Formats: sequence, structure tokens, C-alpha cells
Amino acid sequence: MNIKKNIDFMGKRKIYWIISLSIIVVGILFNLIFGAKLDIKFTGGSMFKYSYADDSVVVTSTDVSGSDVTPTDLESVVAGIVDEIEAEAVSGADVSAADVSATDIIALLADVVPVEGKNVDPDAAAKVISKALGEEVTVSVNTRLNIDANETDNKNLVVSLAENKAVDQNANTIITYAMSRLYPDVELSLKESNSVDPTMGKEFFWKCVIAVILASVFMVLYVALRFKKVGGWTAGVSGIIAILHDCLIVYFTFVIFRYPIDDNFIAVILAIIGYSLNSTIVIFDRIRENRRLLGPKVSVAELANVSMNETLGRTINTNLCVFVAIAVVAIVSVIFGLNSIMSFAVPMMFGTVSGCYSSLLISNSIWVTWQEAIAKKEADKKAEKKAAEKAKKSK
Amino acid sequence: MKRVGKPWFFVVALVIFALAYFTFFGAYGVDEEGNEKTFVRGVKDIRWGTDIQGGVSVTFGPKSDVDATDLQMSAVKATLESRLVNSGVTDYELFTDNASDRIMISFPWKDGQVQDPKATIDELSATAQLMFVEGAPETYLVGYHTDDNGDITYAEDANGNLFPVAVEGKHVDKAEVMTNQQNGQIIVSLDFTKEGAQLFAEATQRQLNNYISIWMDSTMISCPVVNDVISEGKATITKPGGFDADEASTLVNNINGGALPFTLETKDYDVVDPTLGKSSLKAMAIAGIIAFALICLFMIFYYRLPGFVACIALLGQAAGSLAMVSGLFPIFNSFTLTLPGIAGIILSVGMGVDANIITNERIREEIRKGKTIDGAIDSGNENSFSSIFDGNITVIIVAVILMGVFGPPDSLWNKLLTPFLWMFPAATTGAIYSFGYTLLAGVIFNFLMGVTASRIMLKSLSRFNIFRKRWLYGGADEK
Repeated sequence: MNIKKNIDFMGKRKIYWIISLSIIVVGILFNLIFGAKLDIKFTGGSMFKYSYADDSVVVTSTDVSGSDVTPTDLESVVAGIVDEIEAEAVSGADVSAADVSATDIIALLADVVPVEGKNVDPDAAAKVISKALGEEVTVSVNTRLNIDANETDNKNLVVSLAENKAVDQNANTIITYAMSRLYPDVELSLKESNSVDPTMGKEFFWKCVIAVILASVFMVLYVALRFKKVGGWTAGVSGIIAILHDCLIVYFTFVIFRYPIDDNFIAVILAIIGYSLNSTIVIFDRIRENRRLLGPKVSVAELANVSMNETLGRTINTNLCVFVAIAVVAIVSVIFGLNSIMSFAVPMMFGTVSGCYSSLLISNSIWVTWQEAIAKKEADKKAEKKAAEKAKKSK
Repeated sequence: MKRVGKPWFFVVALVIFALAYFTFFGAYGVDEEGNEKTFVRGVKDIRWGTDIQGGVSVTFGPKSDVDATDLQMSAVKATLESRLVNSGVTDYELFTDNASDRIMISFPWKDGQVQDPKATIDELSATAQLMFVEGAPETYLVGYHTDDNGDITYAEDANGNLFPVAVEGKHVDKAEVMTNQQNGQIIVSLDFTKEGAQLFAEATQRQLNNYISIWMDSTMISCPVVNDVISEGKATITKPGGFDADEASTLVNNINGGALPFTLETKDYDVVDPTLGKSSLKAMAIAGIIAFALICLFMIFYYRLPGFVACIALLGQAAGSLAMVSGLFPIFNSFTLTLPGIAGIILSVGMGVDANIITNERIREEIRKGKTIDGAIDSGNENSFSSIFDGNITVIIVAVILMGVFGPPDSLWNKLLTPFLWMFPAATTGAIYSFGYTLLAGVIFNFLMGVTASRIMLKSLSRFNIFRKRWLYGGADEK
């Protein structure tokens, strides 16, 4: 690669804007069709995830040697839970926050017909669990991807409250008991449970929104300060437009891949804000330097072109490196089925590509156009003045 | 930059390799008793987040219509801490947010146990039992006997001995730290309720010159001798030589907290099973190694000698970030590392290489313009610094905001951002907090390694005659 390259970036401005706008339109369409899924961290709600082995798994005693938890342990835990409910029923203790006692729950489930075998029908399960909890739930069953060599559970059972409510941990006992009545052969083990109070969720959401606004404001201020000599404010705002563009792309990635909008989303947005502005700054830094070197007579478009060509090597290489770093994480997370990392790394991947594109082409083209408009306004003003003076003279 | 002597490359490289070695492997020895002693903390000393090793995160608070005072909150905090320790959980994090009346606790599961999150959370939030027992049982208490009316009569210790219970926590009105006017020692004063005063008078009569021990749940928190019959309902607990300030205030907190000022409600909880996270850790480690290797290959191939220097610097940066997390540097506390935190380390390696790329591109440019090797290196270093600086500052801004938003309420970062975030009380500490921290650590080490160390190494290497060939720095292939 040599310096002689002289791509006329600024000449093709309209093309970049058209590309960006079309992507945004497509994204909005997807958003309207699919909608965005807010995670319970923001909305509040409760979720319980269990693993179990269905009929397709044959467990022999040697399979689970070396693991910390043997099937007999699980059996006794479930049996213990059943005993506990029935024991509390005897002593009349409260079992759930809904103030339904254990006796009531046993009575509610008295007419449940046990189903043989280990294959779970989510709808049947949902009906029974909803009855026992006194809350509507949705149940989904999916295959586990991320299985340790020692584990035999191949399915996930996810129970979520339909309404956005927090429940206390007694809910786990009730769910397990209800399942044990419907599917006595199924051994559930709790993998993850999560309950967020809706007010806390809302507070957290607004806190995140403020964080993003804060970050953006600081960025604009910083750029405006550092690049005063090359139209600081226009540079700052052009940078922010590019960042907004990237944030939209990140958001659309979440929508298209149906990842829940949770704190990973906020982290990605903030990271992309910093990273995208990073790239923009490098180019503006070169513009500032070239302005000094080339003098005020060179047109803004020319100045931008030269600067961008000179920094092209760095822009492409750095973005390549960052992309590789985050793509490896994304690919690994997909292969191993790490959901929490996936919803972080995949959007970040798209965000870095977008960041490179936007800081290279969008922010500069906006800045140049803006500067040209300012310059033109000033030139027009000058011309008007001159014409007015001429008119005066000739009078 | 003035001339850098030849040996410097080896010095810097050695320091970096040593740092990397100790960061990953630590240094361990054996102390006098044959126990393993840690001289230098390595990767295995890292405190993993609950998303990796599994665990429980709970947020407790009073019922929504109750507004707790700061005093009440610290009493609850003391009670919860002693309960955690009593149930054998020593590795926990506890944060109090007085503004929103919330206490956030998170702790990992212990290896090998089948976990019962409900029991653990129940235990934590149960109303505490504060007992004044006549006598001084030698072991911990296993339980209390009640009579037919439901009143507590006797405490039983592990040996089966029974001790009468003098008063309960509900009979104590208030405990306070005071100073004895005569000898200046710190003492604890107790005010009993009317009923309590009566019961305590009887008990002190029986136990004159003997002990009345004070118990919180099943642990003894104090065991003073009864010097006088206390009939007025006001007693003082003294210790020979006086309490020290911390001891006294802990005791007071415990006594005041024993009658938990409000019922604890579970606002929010998060339980993660340990098996979920273990393979995630392995996967992320693999990802990190692959990413690092790919970036290094690229740098060496494209930028040649300066690229090689960059790889060593990157190793230094990654090791440095990890060291900040594991607490290798004694002045910095260790930090919990979560999966996003690991992603942060990998990401900062990707972003950190930018410093080297900017510099090397400049050097390449200058070489092709015809400058001498030394001139090109100097000019490259000089001109690239402002870009690197600006770029890193933006990452710092992001990292600080991340830490402030997702961090615990009493963290430095949260306090920094409080003017903006005052409206919104603390969220639960998220795994993202670790991400902010590793980004920040990455930037700091980027300045150290990607800028300073790289420059020293390159300038030193360039002194060697074998390395004085233009194509090594990006000049056109001359051969």
C-alpha cells in the first residue's frame, strides 16, 4: 500500500447516505414486524430455568461418575421438596408470598393426573404450574447446547411469569412440586432463577438511558474542545450523528436476532459509542494537522479527502483487529451456546463494522457538507456586502 | 526521544514476560504449618463472578411503605454479615444503599454441594434472635426451649446443657456506645424496656458475680460478668481495659439489630447454578487466546519489526489487566471477574493494538517519504501521540460511566456520577461492572505498554545493526 492512493471519498457522499438510510429503513421494518423484547431486568418479572433429561437419555450408573451431583442426589432433593410442602401443609405454614398455604396447593393439585415418561409438554406444564402458583406462567422447553461431559440433562425447562411481577423464592418450591405431580418421572434441577421487582426494573432502565445520554454529551464536549480549530462543534455533532447511526444498527441487530434488550445492550451501546468516536477522532486529528500543514486555502472536501487517504491504513487495520477480537468471542459463544455472551458479542461485532463505516464515511461527509454550507453562507454574505458597497459607490 | 541503549529491549521484554508469568501462574510456597501460602496472586486466585462459578445475588429491603433510617440500615447490615459468616459464607459482597433502603448481597456457591437457594435466602432474611443467657455456655447454642405459652425459657448448647434465658432482644430498647467519665474507657450502655428491666433485675440477682452471656442467633457476641444487680433497667457492659471503638460499635449494632427494625423483604434475586458457568470460562479463555494469536500474526506480517514489538506490548497489556483483576499489585484490591469482564479484556486488546497501529502507520509513512530510520521512528512516535491520547480518553469516559451505572452504590465511580444519577438509586451490581473495570485497566496498561514500553523497545531494537533495514519498518521491499 502506498501513499499515492487518492480516493475521492467526499465525491461520493450521496451514496453513503443512501446506503445508511436504506439500512435504517430495513431495520425499522424489522422492528415493526418483530418488535423488541425487553428483558426482565428492565420490565421486572420472574424466570426459572431448570434442566432435565428426557426419554431419549439413558442414564447408567457409570455415566455420571466423577460429577458432583448424582441422580440419587437429585431424587432426594425433589423428594425433599415434596416432603417439605406436605410437611408445611401439616403445620399450616405459609408457603408462598401469595399467602396460599401448602394445604391449599396440595388441594389444588389433587386432581392432576400424573403422566408417565420424561417428555414434557410445555402447555400442560404451564396449566398445572399456573394453577399451583396462582399466577399465569408460560413454559418453554428447549434443547441444551452447552453440556458438560459429566451432565446428562439434555433439555431446558423455562418457566416465566406472564405478568411482570417479582415472586419470592418459594415459587421454585411450588413449581417443582407441581411438576412432580404432573411428571413424576422427570427430575428437575434448578439452573438459574431470576426475579426482578418492576419498580427496580424501571429505575434501572432510566438509569441506563441517562448513562447513554451522559456518555454522548461528554463525547461531544470532548471533541468540541479538542478540535476547536477545525470547527469543533460541527465535528462533535457530526461524530454524534455517526454514533447514533451505530447505535441504531446495534439496536436492529438485537431485534433481528431476537435477543432480549437487557444490560448487555446498554454495555454494547456504551462501548460502541466510545469505540466509534475513537475512529472519528483519529481522522479529525489528521484533518487538524493537515489544516496546519496545507493552509487555509485548501477546500474542506480536499482536506478531508487527503486526511482520509492518509489514515486509511490505520482505519482499516485497527477496525480489522477489533473486529477479529470480538468476532472470535462471538463465534465461540455461538458454538458453545453461551447465551449471555452471544447477546453481547454478536451485536458488538456488527457495531464495530458499522463504527468503522460511519466514522470513515458518515461523520466526515456530514462535517464537510456542513462546513461547506457555513463557508457558502459566509461567502454569500461577503458577496452581498460587496454588491451593496458597489451599489453605494455607483450611486 | 533521545537515543535508547541496546539493552533496553531485553529489559522491557523481560519485565513483560515476568509480569505475564506471574499473572497467569502466581507464586506459591509453603508456610511453617505446611499450608499453601500465596506470595503472588495468579489466575487461580481470581474471584469469579456468579455467572461463572454460580451463586446467589439477593436484594433485601424493608416493605415498600417503610422508610429506614441510616442507623437501622447499618444494624441490618451487621446482622446479615454475621449470618453470612455463620453459615460459612466468607466470600461475599454486601452493599448498602441508604438512599433507596436496599441491601445487596451476592455470594458464590461452595463446591460440591447441592444447592438450595430458598433455604439460604430464608436464613439470611429471618428475624434475628438476640438472647441474654444466664451463664457462659462453652460451645455454640443449638436451640432454645419454649414453655407452653410460647415464651423462651432455656438455651441449649452443643453438650446438651441447659441455660436459663434472662431477656430477649425484644426487651432491649436501645444500646449505645458511651465513654466512661472516670477513666475515659469506651463502654456499651443498655436501656431495657419496662418488662425487660424487671426480668433483667431478677436475672442479675441470680447471676451476681457470675456471667450473663449475650447471643446473636447461635454465636456469643459478649460475655460480661454481672457486677451489680441491675434494677433500674439501665446497664453498662464494660471490658477490662475498655472496648476499642470498632468492637463497641459492632456490639451495639448487633444488639440493636437483634431486634431487626423491620422485616426484610426480598426485592430481587438471581440464582445461577455452578455448572452453567464452568464451560463458559473455558470457552472465553479459548476465544481470548485465538483472538490474541490472530492479532499478533497480523501485526507481525503487516508491520514486521514494529509489529513484533506490538505483540510483546499487547501481552503486557493483557497480563496487566488480568493482574489488576486478580490483585497481583498489592496496592490495588482484587476485583470480581465476570464473563463480560473477560470480554472487556479481549476487547481492550483489540482496541489497544490501535496505539501501535497508529504509530506504526506513521513510521511507515515517514520511511516511505524518505526519512532515516531514526527520524521516521521519532516522527512517528511524536505525531501519533495525540490521536492515541484522544482515543483512549473516550474509552476512559465510557468505562467510568459503565462503572458508575452498573456498580455498587458506594463505589468511587458511582459517587463521581451522583450529580447526574441522583434520581435513580442503585441497580443491582451487574456483571457489566466488571466490563467497565477491565476496559479501564486495559486503557491504563495501554498507555504503559502500547505507548511507553513499545517505544522503548522499538528504539532500542533499532540500534542493532541487523535491524537497520528500511523494509523492516514498512519501507518498500528493497531486496
